[in-house]
Amino acid sequence: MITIGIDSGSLATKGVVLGDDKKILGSAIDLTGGRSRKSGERVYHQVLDRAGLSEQDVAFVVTTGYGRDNLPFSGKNVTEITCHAAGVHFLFPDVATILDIGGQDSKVIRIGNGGRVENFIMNDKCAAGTGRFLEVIAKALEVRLEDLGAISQQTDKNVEISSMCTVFAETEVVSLVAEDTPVPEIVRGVHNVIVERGEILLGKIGLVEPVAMSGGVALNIGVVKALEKRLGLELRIAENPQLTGALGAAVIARNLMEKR
Amino acid sequence: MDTLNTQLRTRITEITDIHHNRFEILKALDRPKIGWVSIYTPEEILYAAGLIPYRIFGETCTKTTKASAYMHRNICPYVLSCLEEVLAGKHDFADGAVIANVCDARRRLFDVWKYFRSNDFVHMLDLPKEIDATTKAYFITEMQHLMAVLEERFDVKITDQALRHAVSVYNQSRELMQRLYDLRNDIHPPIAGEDYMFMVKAAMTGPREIFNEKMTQLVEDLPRHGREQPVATPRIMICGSYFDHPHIIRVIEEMGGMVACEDTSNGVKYFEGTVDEDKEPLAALADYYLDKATCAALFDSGKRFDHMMALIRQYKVDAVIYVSLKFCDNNLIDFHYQQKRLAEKKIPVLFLETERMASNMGQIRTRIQAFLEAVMLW
Repeated sequence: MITIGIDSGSLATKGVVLGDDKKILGSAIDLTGGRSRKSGERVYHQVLDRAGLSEQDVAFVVTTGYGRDNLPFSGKNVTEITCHAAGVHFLFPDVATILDIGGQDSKVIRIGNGGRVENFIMNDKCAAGTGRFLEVIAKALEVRLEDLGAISQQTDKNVEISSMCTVFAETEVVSLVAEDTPVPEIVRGVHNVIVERGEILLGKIGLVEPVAMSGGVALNIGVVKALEKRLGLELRIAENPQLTGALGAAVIARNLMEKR
Repeated sequence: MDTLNTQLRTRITEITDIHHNRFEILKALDRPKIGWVSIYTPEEILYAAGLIPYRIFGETCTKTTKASAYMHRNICPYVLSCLEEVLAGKHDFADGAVIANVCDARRRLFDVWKYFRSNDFVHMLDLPKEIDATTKAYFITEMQHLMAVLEERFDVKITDQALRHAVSVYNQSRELMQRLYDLRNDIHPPIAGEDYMFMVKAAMTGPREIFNEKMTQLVEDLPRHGREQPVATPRIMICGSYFDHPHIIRVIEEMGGMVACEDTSNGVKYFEGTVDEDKEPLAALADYYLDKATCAALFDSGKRFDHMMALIRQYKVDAVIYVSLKFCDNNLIDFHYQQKRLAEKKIPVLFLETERMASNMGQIRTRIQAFLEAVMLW
């Protein structure tokens, strides 16, 4: 049986095709841009192409993410919280806590039996501690978002960024640039802001090990290392952490079909 | 069935319109009007003085630019929007307000209102927080003081007979609302969750006689509609502070669930119980208002929990969504206590902290949907 999960996120749209024997037959990631419906359809056809399949081969499609209820091919829409839990559980069945930091949200999910969501918490309507925050800062520092991780490893000194608000933190970063603070130190300071936010969310739900990290920010080695150091543990991270939500959606699609 | 449904729809709209058209309706009445902001205000006394009591909802002011100049932004958004309406002159048709001393935010509303609109009649009614025989006696003196103030201000005499009549009129509304909610529980009539909320608000808006008359017709008509909708699950109880977000109710319904009851001031809390008509009126009012001390601003959180559990049993509730307005210290503290106790009883709880108007609906929607997905166990 073939199922598809599409995760229409605030920054990127992700797709996964899941086949028999729990095999991932194809995946794709593309920028969401201004029209989530269009990018959703594009990614849907991309994953089909990559898996060498046509629409008729697909048993069921589950969509998730911010644009989840705006996609015509969706069989059912499920929140990214439930999907991340299912995706992480699929990859790491023993994981008890997920820290997911995406483009617009950061959240902590506690997983119970069978990948079920036991409890969860999301950040408030504020971009601090999210991928969007890193994007704003990368722009202010004139570096590429995907280079932030490597840049932060060029030093072990950090500067303190005291502001938790994205807008104020950007101002703070601009002042640091004006003072000629080395960019790697600023980047480390910025990563620590993300780590603090994650730590607060974990503290609110209660951290139970093992802990997995998902979402696009898990691609940033600087944030991952800083988090591991602060929490004193090793994070489980999927080979492609951006795909966890879409994978979870495909897993849920499969579970739903098996129940029918 | 279609004609029945149309008839029912008309009956409901007639009631909810009392709320939606409240300003025009109130303005057209020639009796003096008195606003209130807490369900611990004994409306019976105001009614007995020949006044029309009505709740100030602050619903028309989505932006609080005027009020924010007088109060800090980290104050109760309900109070802030009420003050905005007052400063915008929306309540100029009224003859004053009675503010019960429930919480700090309402006291600040009293302070600012009194100070910046000194010609308005604004009375503070003290409300005890620990409830026992001594504080009940004190509350009776507070009510007597309110009566004396009203008698002088409006040149009336509040007779024992008028008080007893007021009690029976208000009891009638309470009994009607209880019957409506019992029907909601048993036959699940085709009424949207937000309609219940607006019907409770209509009860608060006055004129009371019209509300009672229309609600009597509705609860008599309803049983004929039987079980017209499949019973929706999960059944959700909304708990918390001031709550009037129709969007949140709609999201729950779109997900296939339903709001079974609201443990909030614009819900069950307003109309539960009745005032003992055989007792001396003031003593009976003190008993009624102080014994239903289940607001988070009042001290006994154990009593509040027992009350929640009673509602959970009565309305066959599967899960609780606890909604607190931002900066409501009373509810923000209360939640942690209630969450622990509810978890011991294995009742799932979702916590939402919202502004007056649910501006971040995208996130709220995701939270509610994820919560219901977890409750539905799949």
